[in-house]
Amino acid sequence: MRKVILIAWKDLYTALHNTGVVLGFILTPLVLTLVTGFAFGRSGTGELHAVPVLVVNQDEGTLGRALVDAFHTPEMAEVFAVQEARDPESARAAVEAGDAVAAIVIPADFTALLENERGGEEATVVLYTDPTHPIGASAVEEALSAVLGEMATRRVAVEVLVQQLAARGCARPPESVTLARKAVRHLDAVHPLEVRVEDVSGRKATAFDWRGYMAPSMAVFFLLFTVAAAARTILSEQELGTLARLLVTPSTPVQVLGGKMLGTFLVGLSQMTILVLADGLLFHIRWGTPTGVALLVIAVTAAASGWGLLIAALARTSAQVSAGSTALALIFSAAAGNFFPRWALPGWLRTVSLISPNAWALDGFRALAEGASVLDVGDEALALFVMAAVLLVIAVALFRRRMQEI
Amino acid sequence: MPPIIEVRALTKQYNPPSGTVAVKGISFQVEEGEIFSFLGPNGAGKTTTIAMLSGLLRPTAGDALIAGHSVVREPLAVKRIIGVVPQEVALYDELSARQNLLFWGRMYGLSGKTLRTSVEEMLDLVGLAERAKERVGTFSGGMKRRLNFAAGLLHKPRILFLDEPTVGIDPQSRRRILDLVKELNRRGTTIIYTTHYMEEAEELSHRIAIIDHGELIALGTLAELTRMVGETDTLRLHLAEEFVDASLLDVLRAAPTVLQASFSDRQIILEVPDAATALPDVMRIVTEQGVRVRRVDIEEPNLETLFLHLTGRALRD
Repeated sequence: MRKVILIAWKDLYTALHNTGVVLGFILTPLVLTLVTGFAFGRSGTGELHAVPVLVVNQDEGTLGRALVDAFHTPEMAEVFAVQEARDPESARAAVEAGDAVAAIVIPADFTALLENERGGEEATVVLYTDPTHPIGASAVEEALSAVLGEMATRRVAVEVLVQQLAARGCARPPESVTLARKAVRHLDAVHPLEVRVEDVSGRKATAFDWRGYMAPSMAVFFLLFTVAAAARTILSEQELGTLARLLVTPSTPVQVLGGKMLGTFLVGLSQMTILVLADGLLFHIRWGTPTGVALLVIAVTAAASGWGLLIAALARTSAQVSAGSTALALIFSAAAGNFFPRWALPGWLRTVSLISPNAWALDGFRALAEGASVLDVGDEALALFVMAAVLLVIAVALFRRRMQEI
Repeated sequence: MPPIIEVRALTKQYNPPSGTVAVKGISFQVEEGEIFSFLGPNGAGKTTTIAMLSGLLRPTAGDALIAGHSVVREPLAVKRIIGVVPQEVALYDELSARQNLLFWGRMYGLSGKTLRTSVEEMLDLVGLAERAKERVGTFSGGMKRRLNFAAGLLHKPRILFLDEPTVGIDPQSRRRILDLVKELNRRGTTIIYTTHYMEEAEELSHRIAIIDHGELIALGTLAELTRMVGETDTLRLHLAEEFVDASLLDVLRAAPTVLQASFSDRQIILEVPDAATALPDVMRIVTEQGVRVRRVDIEEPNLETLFLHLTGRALRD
């Protein structure tokens, strides 16, 4: 065992002191995670936050003010950062410039129209939205619809009430309209318009978090390259003659092979560990419960190492290992959802992709990020360990045959 | 005292039953404390023989006892008492000289102070103590060869296998390695040395085994081997041409004053009964073929002559 560890440690030391490894397999996934987060929008928790909205209130009555106030409630403030704008033109310009996601323009006769003083004309609130922020704009539209709907509901309720009072002789028809208006204003004053948002699922909102998705995606994607590069050193050492020298020391082929395999695993494990810690420290990405993350990191590294070693065992030259591992990494990553959400893939592809370590790992990491426990990812971890065991058995058989030919 | 190495009908065939037979049932013995050289051209089977004796390759047939341990049944025991300096420089460029030796020393089971002391001794022995902290990737070819040499000696083996250790290095480094070999032998190490350089075998060896096409064709001391050639001379014609027509050699061989003829490294090498008698005939034939001769050397019988005598080919064909 001592010689196995000695060989593995030598490989780990060599890899971590290799500038190419550090730049290519550690810094690159971090940079890609960061850039993706900037490109698609930051979300540490998956919820909308501080969406910039402008409001232009041209109304001279109370209902326009009530509508504006509805967007300043504490609940609205958690989602929207609302500012009042001077005029519709400047508000529209701000949306076009990307300074606001949406602008609400309340017309000058909003109150009059709603209180039916204009003989049946509809009250039209204009909403300008930025199409490049569909999620935020959609949220503004829904909130506005909800507020307006609440306003309409109150009016209908009060009108029905007044009509019934008039029908029973409790209010005279000429006075009923005035009575209705007073009732609504009183309602608005005492009970400001509000929109209540309820999360009926009992879980956190699952609005898509690109950076949180890309962190494990990039880590697993580059892991495949890393372990293949480590496995390739078996053939490199054969080509350079150091493998033969290892075999003429008082060591068995099993010890030498074991050392190379352990080295492959340790290099991959180091990379994953560094990336998990760096993502957390630099980008505040929460991977999930530490025991669950540790289990899944070990499992996916073992499985990826198995694939890397199998490719090395089948290849005749180190160049073939590079080509084969690149192809495998790209195919696995594309099919398993490393580059776009796995749930967006067709069902048959999600099934086929289970041959890859990526699919199991990404499902597990996503579950952990959403609060799953270590037990909840047991299936994914077990599948990865079984994959690793099968691949390693095949790789060992092929390598032992090769070592007889050195 | 029994021989320290006893080789019995050692055979290696790749991809039996129809594959190449690289070593064909060779047998020999090596006494403890001697320098025993394998001399032969490239592809003769020298490296394959070393590989089998060092446990890297499993023999197809036969066996060898090294200090009483069978290479077939007890390879680990054999590996503990031998050292191997491979033909290729087998070092890690990313590690320093000292890191390389520490690693290889640990692979031979050394540790602690014993290991550190041995590493520093070897660095001093090969003249690399001042470069110990530098990455091997920055070393010249000669320096790498010297470090390669040191890595095989860390555990102070009783028997050292050296497979063409001076190939492709500068004359100073080559001289240094040859002196090191003699020094190690002086201290009691048995040396098995393979080379295709006749002069190395002549300088170093107590006994020489000549191997060609996997067969042992001659074995003995230098004096014994040169006596096999008899009272013949070697004519060495240094040519201006890089290549000559094969028919020229046939014509030379057909001459009554020539025993054997071969071409290698811009030289026509001739085994002749008497140089004074053969030289005029040889020069006439060569001149008629339009070949320009820059220089002619007349040599007493040597290993190259012997190889030519036994195989009809130059040692460096």
